[in-house]
Amino acid sequence: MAGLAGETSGGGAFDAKSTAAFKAGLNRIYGFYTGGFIAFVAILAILEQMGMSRGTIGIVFLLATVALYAGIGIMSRTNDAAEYYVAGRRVPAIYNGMATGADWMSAASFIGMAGTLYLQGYGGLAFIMGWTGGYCLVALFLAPFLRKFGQFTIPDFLGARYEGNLPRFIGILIAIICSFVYVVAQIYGVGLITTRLSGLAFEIGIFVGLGGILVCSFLGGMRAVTWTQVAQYIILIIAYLIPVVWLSVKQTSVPVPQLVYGYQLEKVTEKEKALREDPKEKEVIGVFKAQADALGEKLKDVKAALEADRSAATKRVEDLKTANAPADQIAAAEKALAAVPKDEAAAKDTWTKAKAAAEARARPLAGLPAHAQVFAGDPKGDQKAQDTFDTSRRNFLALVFCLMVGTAALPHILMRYYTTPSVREARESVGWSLFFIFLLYFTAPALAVLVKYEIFHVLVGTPFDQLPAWVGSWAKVDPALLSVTDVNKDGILQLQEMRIGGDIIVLATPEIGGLPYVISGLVAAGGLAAALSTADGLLLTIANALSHDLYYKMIDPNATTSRRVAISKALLLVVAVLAAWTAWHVQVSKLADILFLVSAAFSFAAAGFFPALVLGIFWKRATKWGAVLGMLAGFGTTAYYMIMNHPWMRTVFSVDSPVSLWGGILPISAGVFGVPVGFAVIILVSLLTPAPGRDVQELVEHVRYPSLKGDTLNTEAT
Amino acid sequence: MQLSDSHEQYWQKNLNITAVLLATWFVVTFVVAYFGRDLTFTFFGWPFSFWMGAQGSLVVYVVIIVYYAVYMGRLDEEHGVAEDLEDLTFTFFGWPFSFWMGAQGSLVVYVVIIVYYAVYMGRLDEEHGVAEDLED
Repeated sequence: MAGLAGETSGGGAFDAKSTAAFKAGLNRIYGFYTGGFIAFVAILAILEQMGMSRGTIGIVFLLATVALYAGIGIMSRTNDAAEYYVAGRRVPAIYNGMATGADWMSAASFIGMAGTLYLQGYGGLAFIMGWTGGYCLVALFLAPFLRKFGQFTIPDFLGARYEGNLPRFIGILIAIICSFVYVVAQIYGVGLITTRLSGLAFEIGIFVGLGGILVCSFLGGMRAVTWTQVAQYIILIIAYLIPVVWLSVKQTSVPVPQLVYGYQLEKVTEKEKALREDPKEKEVIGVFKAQADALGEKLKDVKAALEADRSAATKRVEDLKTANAPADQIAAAEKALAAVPKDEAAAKDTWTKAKAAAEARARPLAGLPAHAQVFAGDPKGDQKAQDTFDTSRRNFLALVFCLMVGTAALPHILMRYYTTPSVREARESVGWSLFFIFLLYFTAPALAVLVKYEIFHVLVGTPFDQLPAWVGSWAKVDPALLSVTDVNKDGILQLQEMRIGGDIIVLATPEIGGLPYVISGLVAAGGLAAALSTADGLLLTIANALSHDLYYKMIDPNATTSRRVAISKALLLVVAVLAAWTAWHVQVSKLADILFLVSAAFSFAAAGFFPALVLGIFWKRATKWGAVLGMLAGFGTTAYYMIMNHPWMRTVFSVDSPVSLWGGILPISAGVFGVPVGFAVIILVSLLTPAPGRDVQELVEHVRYPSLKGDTLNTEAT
Repeated sequence: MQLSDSHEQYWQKNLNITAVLLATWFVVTFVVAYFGRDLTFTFFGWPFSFWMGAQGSLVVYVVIIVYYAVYMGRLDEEHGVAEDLEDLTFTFFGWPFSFWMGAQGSLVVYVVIIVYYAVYMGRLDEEHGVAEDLED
């Protein structure tokens, strides 16, 4: 692994002469690595056939992959600043693309997205488009120019372009808020997957994963993270593709699911129509409707209903006791009595929730929208249907906008384009990044449709005593992920009788497709790779913002290189433990809505960073105060809208005023207001303040041209 | 420092291509999605707007970025603002690259050219019904 471990002399940009040799070395190493990994999976598959237990396979996958990442981390250890912060600026475009792909695709992309597509159909495509189209903005507006600027972090650019530490400091705050929220969610994901994979407790799972993250980023900074992320990308893409290809072969006998799932979608749509008309499904809906109505009656007079409930339960216990019934029946009746709500308030609360749950389950197709239907509602229907349609369409577009602009503003992604050898390679690297992300995002909608086909055509209508084994085993893991009950007692599974959580879709696909357990282990290892790689990049962003921007640039500009790197490492440790502690806290208390937090990070980054960065490059007239106020206004607008309107944020900040949505836009897309406000404030304030000086003009010209004759400016940091 | 006319043109062309590509991005993303309900004719099994969201737009995004990278790379050269390119004397597994090309690399390429031609023509023969009848 000489290519990864070799230390450059002088620590500056890599010697151009050996770039090609370096790249050839990388090709060889990762070629062997991929072959080795496939061989490893093959050996495990053989061992499974010879009787290796599932638990052992899970542990082997967990330990082997984490040890592998740690190994790469140890081999790439460094104390050199340019190596530590930007991997020596010699990562070839294609490898930077793979690393960005892994950095980008988090547990949410790997595990959550296909599930969201399964549950929401067309609505879920907002994530597919948003999380890929954002790279167009990265390519056109940011990557080449930031690379030419060539320092270490995003606040670096704000500090240099907007003349001073105030813009830099605001940049640090926004970068930390976005990244911390995001990294907590990743560590939470790591904990869940390690628990699933190995059967360890959640807290231990978090710390095993954390060890893997730390050994890597702690020793080698960006350099170790880059080479580990390449390794992680290879694992996660193999793990994602194998089960889908298998399912595709099984259903259509074509091994390219991305090409053929359109026809499967047609069949799913046909089946949806049939299921809506199915009398058995309607029967189940009737049962849930009746439950909801009964609860509605009780809620009309809570006091009387509660008394009736309590006396009935008490009477049953007494009756059983006098009749000398078996002990377990008496115990069950006593449990039922204990479950009767304590007082009126509790009763009202419990019954309202139960009524809502029953109503939700009484919706046709178990609440799934028609998969291919574009937006809810109907533009040609009555007023209400038209309004639903308009709001649904507006929210879809707003979400796509926020995810795209957020993609082009998240510091852990932008900072990756500092690591390429040249401006030219930075441009190409964005192409490679999107290509590698594209491989997975092209597949996720196919996976959702193929799984839906399997469930609609194979599972629904199966007698309860013949259900495949995976149904029972997943229901046992967590009823929130999957639960089936024979509601209408006909002994056959209806779609309406099944409740399914999004996260199960990817994890259970190997079993749904009838693949051996080793593939399930592989998929979990892929999810782990996705979560770990993203967590690595985010932790590094936070630690660098604190050590490089806050400490070195603002507090002690005379600090030596080795001291800066040492401080960065210490901070990394602190931030990692803090993030793990928060993740654990979230898991225990069930306090925060993780999915919301992750999406919120996009809106915050979009509103806080995007206007200031883009105008900084494309408009010489943008001034310091314009940027300062613009960043604050954009970020503030977004935060205000979320705090006022999102249920969880409302409880955190104890907001009592009624929810008032602007144009029906959901709080998740608050950035759609923050971004224009940010642009407007920067432009307005800039025009009201004196134009920036000659040196800023020269800096802007410097970043606009890959190479400028007579340009004496050199911003590249070493 | 003073920017020359060529430099000004370079930036103007950069702005133009950025505007064109951004407009493409906007139409593919927002305009197509806005009219999503009306664009539901079948496209290889998919309703068209579903296909655009799941695949079509992604392909266009990749094309936009690759096109931009190639276009700008050429523009850099034309306006004399390209970075210094590495010369071809770098070492390649210990050989000076040009020595290796003469000794081994070019030979490999020759073999590839000949094999590729043979395979390609063999397939062409089949496709156009001019292949010889061979017992296998």
